[in-house]
Amino acid sequence: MKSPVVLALSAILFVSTMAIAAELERTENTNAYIGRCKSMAVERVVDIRQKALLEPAQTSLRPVTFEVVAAPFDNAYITRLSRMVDNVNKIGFDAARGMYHYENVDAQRERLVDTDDLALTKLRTKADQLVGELLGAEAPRFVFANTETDYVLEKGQSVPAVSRKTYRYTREVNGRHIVDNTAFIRVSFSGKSVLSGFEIVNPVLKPVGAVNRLVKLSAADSRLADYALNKRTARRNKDEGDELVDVVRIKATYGTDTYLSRSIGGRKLILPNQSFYAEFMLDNGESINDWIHLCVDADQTPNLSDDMIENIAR
Amino acid sequence: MNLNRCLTSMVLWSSISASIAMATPPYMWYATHSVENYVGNGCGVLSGYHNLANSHEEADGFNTAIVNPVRSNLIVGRMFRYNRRDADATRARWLGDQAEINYVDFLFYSGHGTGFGPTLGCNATYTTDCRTDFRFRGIGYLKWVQASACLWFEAPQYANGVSEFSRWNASFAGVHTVQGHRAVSYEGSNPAAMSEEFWNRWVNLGESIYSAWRNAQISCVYENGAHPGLQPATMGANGTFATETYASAGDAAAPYGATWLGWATVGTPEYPPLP
Repeated sequence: MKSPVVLALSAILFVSTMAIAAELERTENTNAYIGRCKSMAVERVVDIRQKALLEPAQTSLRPVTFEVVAAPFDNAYITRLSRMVDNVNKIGFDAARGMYHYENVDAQRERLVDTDDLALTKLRTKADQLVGELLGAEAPRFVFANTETDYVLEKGQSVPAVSRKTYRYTREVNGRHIVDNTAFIRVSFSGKSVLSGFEIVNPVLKPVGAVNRLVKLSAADSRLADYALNKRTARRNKDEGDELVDVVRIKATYGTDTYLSRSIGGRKLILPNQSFYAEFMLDNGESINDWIHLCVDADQTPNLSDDMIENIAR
Repeated sequence: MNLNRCLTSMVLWSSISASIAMATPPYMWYATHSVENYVGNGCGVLSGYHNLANSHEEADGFNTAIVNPVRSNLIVGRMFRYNRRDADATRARWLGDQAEINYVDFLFYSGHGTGFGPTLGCNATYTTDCRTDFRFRGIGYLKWVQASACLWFEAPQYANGVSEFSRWNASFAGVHTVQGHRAVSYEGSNPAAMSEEFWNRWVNLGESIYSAWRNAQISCVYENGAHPGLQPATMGANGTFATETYASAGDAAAPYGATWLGWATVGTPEYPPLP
C-alpha cells in the first residue's frame, strides 16, 4: 500500500504532466502569408511554367508531386567541373545519391585567410557566382539556404581560427522551396578563399501528377491553430533524452510554400507543404526553433475534416 | 589473441602496401557501446539523464554500415568484437591501458555525454572522467573513437573552466582521433543513416575523417531533423591525423597527447546552462 506521501506526490506528478494547449502567436509575416493563402483560388496556387519542369500540357492547376530519382553520372558534366578545381583527382561521383563531390583535403588544412566582414561578404558573392558556374542553366533553381563555419583550435591557442566557410543552396520547384536535403549544392572555401570542396545533389524530378485531393490552402489558418491546440509537448535534445517539455507558446515567425521528401511505396517523393518557421517557448523557460509543416496532399495527411478538402481533381 | 593479430597484421600489411601506393588500415576491428537504459544504470529522476530511444539503433547502424559492401566497401579484415549495451557498458571496459576498448581499431559510442566524456550511468560502475580514466591506446589497436553524444568538446566555460586539451590530453595514448560534439547533439531520424554516410564519405569519397564525420552529422542529423543547430567536432593527436583520409590512414599509433581540435558550426547550436 502506498503511503499518503507517495500518493500526494503521485497526484502532483500527474497534474504536472497534464500539459495544456500551447498559445499561438502569429507575426505580421505569418499573417501576410496566411492572408495570401486565403485569397488564393486554387488556380493561382502555382505558376508551374515559371521555372518549368513540366510542359504546359502536363501541368495542372494544383500543386504537383514529384518522384526523386538520383542524378545519373554525366561524363561531360564531370569534365566541366574538373576545369573549375585545383585537384582534378579529388572529384568523385556517389551513384547512390547522384552526388558530384569534390574535397581537396590539402586545401582544407589551410586556414581561411580573410575573415573580416567585408571579406566574408565578398566570399558569399563569390559563392553565388560559383554556384552559377557549377550548375549552369540549373543555377536559377537554387536559393541560398545557410552557412556553415569551421573552426580550428590548436594546443596553446585560446582563440579558434576560421578554417572553412561553406555556403549551402537548396532547390526551388515551381515556386516551392525543398527544405530538406533532397536537392542542394554546397561550396566550401579555405586558405586564400580558394574553392576547397563542393557537393552537388540535383536529382531528376519526375512528375507523378497533381495532388488528387488537395487540402484547401485557405485552411492554413485553422490548421495552424489546430496544431497549436494539440502541440502539448516538445522533445528536447539528446542531452535530455526522452524528456518531453510542455510547450507554453508557439510564435509562428513566417510562412512559406515548401516541398518535403517522404518515402512512399518504395519511392522517394516530394510533397507540397505549407510551412511555418516557429519559435516554441517551453515551460522550463527555454525556447527552440522548429518548422511546422502542413502537407497539402490530403491523401498523405490524416485527421482532416471534409470541409478542409478541395474537390477531387478531374 | 592480441599477439596473433599483430603478426597477421604485419603480414597482411606487407602484402597490401606492396599492391597499393597509399596505406589503408589493414584491419577494422570495432566495438560499440550504447546506453539507453539510464535508469537501469543508476540514474535517478533528478540526475538529468533520462533514458534514450535510439542509442542501440545507432550502434547497430554503425555495424551495418561497416559490413555494407556498397556504402563502406572495406576490403580489410573486419570484426565486430564487442557490442556492449546498457548494463554491459561499464567504466571498467574503458579504464586504463588494458581496457577492453583498446583491443579494437574503432570504438563507437552512443549515449549521453558531458565535457568529460561519456555518461555510461550514474553510479561507480558507470561514472567516468576522461581526465583520469581513459588511455586510448593506438599502440594496442584503438585508433579512432567516435561518439554520438553531447558536449565532449564543449568550451571551457561550460566545463568548470577546464580547457578542451586539458580534459582530453591524457586520453590520447596513440589514438588518432576522437570525434564527438562541441554542443548538444541529437538523435537522427534514421539512426542507421548517419554511420552509412560517414563510412561512405571516408572510404569511398576520399574525405578526411574530420570532414566525413562533420558532413555525416550535418546531413543526417541537422538537415533532415529540423534541429536548431549542431557542432560536430574532431580532436586529433595533430592536424595530420585529424584530417587523414581512409587511403592515408595506417595502423601506426599517433604521438601521445592531443594538439588539434576542429569543429563545424551550423545553425544555432544549443549549450548547457553555464554553471
